[in-house]
Amino acid sequence: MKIRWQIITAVSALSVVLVAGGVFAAGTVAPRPVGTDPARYVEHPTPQLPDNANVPESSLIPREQILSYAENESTGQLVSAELRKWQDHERQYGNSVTTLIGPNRKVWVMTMKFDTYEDLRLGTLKDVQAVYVYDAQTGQMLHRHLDWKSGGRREE
Amino acid sequence: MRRRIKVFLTSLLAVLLLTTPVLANEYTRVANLGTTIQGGYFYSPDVSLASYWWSGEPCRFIVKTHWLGFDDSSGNTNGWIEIGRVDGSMQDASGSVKCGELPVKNYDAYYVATQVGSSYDEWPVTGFSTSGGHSFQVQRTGTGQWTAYIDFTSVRTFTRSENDAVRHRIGFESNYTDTWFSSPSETTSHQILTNGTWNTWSSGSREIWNTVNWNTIFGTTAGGGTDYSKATSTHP
Repeated sequence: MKIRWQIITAVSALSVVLVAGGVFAAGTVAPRPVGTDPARYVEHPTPQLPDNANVPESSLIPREQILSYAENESTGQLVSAELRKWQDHERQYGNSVTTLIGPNRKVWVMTMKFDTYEDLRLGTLKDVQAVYVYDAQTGQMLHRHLDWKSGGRREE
Repeated sequence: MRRRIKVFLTSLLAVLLLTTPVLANEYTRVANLGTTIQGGYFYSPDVSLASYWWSGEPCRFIVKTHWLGFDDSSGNTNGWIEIGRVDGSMQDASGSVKCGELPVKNYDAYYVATQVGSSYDEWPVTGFSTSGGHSFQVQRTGTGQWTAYIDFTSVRTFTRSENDAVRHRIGFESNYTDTWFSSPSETTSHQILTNGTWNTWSSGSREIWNTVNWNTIFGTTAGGGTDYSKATSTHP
């Protein structure tokens, strides 16, 4: 009897912790804004850019075109231009994911270095590594990533 | 006497520099600050924007946006998660024109952005209608997990060290004095998620930092109000 109550108490305490801490365990529903319909939420949308692992390289944007983008960034120095899978690129950065792009979607990842980089919203950044990611079929930019050593201006 | 004036002016300048944010762009927005926040949401009946970008003026942009801001465990500002609408310039190495020395392209889209420390990420998001009304949301969906939504569709899920945000901001930003948004422009149903429950804002502050006579008031009544659940922005 005593052990049963101990188990019940432990489970209840854990439930309170889980709810209060906002950990939505499998089968639970995240709270939604007042006046919205929880059934409308789509957590894993169908990719707008699906996997294209079988598309031959001859049908993709050529590396020379990506290299021309690097030349366009005339104040930077090209570090690398690689054809990769989207999920491999996302894993490298590790802090976010999306299902709008298929994990095996082919992308060009171009990495550059800049002494100075004038960002439209962050301002002047110094000693910058910039990564531009392009869909290898459509050419649209999918991601821009910046790391910098000093500078930057933004009210958070 | 002259020395006293000099000291006074120097002190005044120091005060102004310390209290005025170092921002180069134009802002008008509302903020919910200093609360333990696990989510932010708003609906805009009209997300129309016009940056008047053209190849001869390739730097111009305007965004309608909101974000959750974070502090680290020491209480220092530590970035944000943002989702919004953009019209105009985004830096893009494939662009055929340059803003300053960097190539840009003209976008009419949504975007997601985040900063942590001295690391920034930006993802253009297409495939969603840019006319009519739309909802924007950033919510904690797991331990250290945050999801950004457009019209209830997840567009990106983030992993962060924080389980609470401390700021929710909603508004406009631009770098050109004559950019346009539908005026008056309403954002409604401002809500934050705290302690597992969504509620409309019950307080807030206005942050009007611009040189172009943009303004934002709470409520929808000309002259201001205290209905913190909605805001109305105007431009000349």
